[in-house]
Parts: sequence; C-alpha cells; structure tokens
Amino acid sequence: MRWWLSAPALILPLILTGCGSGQDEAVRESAADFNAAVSAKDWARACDLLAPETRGEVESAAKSPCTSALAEEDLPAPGALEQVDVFGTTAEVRYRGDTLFMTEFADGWHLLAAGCTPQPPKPYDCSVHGG
Amino acid sequence: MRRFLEENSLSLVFGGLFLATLVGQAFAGWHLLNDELFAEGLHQISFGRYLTSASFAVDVTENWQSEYLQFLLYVIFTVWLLQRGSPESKPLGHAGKESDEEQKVGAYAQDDSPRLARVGGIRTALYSRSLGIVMGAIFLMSWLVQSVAGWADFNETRLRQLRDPISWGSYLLNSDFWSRTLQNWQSEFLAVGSMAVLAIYLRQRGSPESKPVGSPHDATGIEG
Repeated sequence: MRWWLSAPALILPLILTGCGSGQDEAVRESAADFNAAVSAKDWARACDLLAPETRGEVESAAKSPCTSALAEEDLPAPGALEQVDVFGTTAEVRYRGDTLFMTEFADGWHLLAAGCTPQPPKPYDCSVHGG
Repeated sequence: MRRFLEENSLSLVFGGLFLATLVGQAFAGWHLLNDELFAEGLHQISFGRYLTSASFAVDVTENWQSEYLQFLLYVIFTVWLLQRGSPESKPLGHAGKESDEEQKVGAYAQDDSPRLARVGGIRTALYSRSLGIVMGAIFLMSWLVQSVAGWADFNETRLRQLRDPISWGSYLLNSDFWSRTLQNWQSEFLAVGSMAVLAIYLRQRGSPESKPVGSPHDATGIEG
C-alpha cells in the first residue's frame, strides 16, 4: 500500500490496492502465523501477535493473563483464505468463517481484532478486539 | 540577478509561500494523524511515511483540485459573463470570444505574437484555449488523485473501526468524497464571487486586481 503522490494518476488505483505488493504478503503471513498459534494452542505466541491495545483489552476483560484469556475465547478455526485488503497501516484478512483485522507496528503486523463475524451495516462483532 | 528577482517577484513569493505552507501542513497533518493513532492505541508513523500516506495526499489534492477548478471556471466564465463595475469583468458589450483582430491571431498576429498565435488551424485553436485546457487538466488530475487517496484513507479508517472497506466506485458516491469536494468548492466560489462584487466598490491602490482609486463604481473592465 506504499505509494507516491507523483505517480501517474491512472496507475494509482493499482498501486493503492497493493497489486502484488509486499504488504499483502506480510499481512497474510502474520495472519497465518496467528492462526497457526491458535490452532497449536501456543497462546504465548498468539498473544505476542496481538496489538498492545488489543492484548490489554483481552486481559482486562478476562481479568487474567493474555495466555489464559485467549485460551478461553474459543476462537474459530478459519477456513480457506478469501481476501486480503491492505490500506496504509491497517488490513483485513477474510477467511471462510472468520475475519481478522490487523495493524502495522514497527516490528510487523499485529492483530487488532480476531474471531470477527459481520453484522452489516454495523462494525464486525469480534470476540477479541482492542478499545 | 536583482532585476530577475524584481521582475519575477510575484511568482517567486507565491512559490516560496506554497512550499513553506506545504511543509507546515505536512508537519501539522503528521502530528494530527499520530495523535489519532495514539488515542486508538495504534503505532505512530514516521514523517517520511506520512508524506507518502493517503491521508496527506487527500488533504493536499482536495485543495489543489478546487483551486484549479476555481481558476478554470473564472477563465472560462469571464469570456461570456460580465459584471457591471467590476475590474474582473470585460467591458460591457464585449462578451464572447472576440474577433481575430481583437485577439491578434492569424492574419492579425503581430511581430512579437507567439508563433502559435500566427500559424492558424488546429494549433492556434488549441493555443487559444491552452490556459483553460491546462487548468482543466490539472483540476481533473488533482480530483482523480483526491478520489483515489481519499478512498484509501477512508478505507484505512473503516478498517480501524472493524468495518469492511468499500470499492473506489462506491467511494465516488460516498458522502466523505463529496463532503471533501464541496466544502472546498463552496469556499472558492464564494471568494471569486465576492472578489468580483467587492472590487466594484472597494479599491486597492496600485493593484491590477483593483480599479484605480478614483475610478467610478460603474466603470467596468478597468484595471489599476
């Protein structure tokens, strides 16, 4: 999703949608990493992949450490990857049966929200989320 | 050198003001965005990253497009529309494209006329409209970039709110795009319209945008 103002306007849409960009790949890898950690019940690793605000909210809502709080969440096992959308420092990764929202930090992409189900036109209802 | 500066002071000063204010806008916008990110517990971005962000681009281009639209319309409308008493208007009775003789084109071109005013045909026809064409092209390009950058910025916000992104086509019908666009257009039209009317009655001594101080209020098309 990195782009430059002086780029010819006709190719801007392609650039902005991250056509083949490395950002999509980085997002996809972090999301897969999180799903692998959840599926392996490696809660420490899964917690490391949460954004700080999200991790804090998980701990505060459960009044317990992140690792045990996440274990209680019963996050869904996602199906096939359907779509990745990256805009600036935020991203949405849609799987069959689950949607993840991610945000970029200095050390890579972290989970803003997980276990999300759509409820249009309202925002997704997410079992794990910040704020 | 001094003569060059004096003879080009208008464009040099405005060029300098443009760069200074663009830098100022960049720093202010960067701090504003980082404040929002901080409030949401998100990672703050570097200044360099902000300069290439959709947020900065949409804020810049939404103003650019409206300025160029303003001047495009002013250049075109003042061919046909008049305002009694305004130095911004042509003299009454002179609405329209005027004759070749008045415009010094083709056979009526003078020795010091631009070559494209002399050659005739499509080249002179295009050159005769080149100011509007270029202003219009910059307007359309800026508006297009605003739409794309605005779309990316809008979707970045939607994702932070845990909502699906929308397509570029949907964004063109979205209130965010039209709010950004129309809030700039209305201010430009107000400024131009009020300039044309205020200059009927008010004066700025020495300015070509004003009539001479002693000119009567109903004198039209006279610049000081």
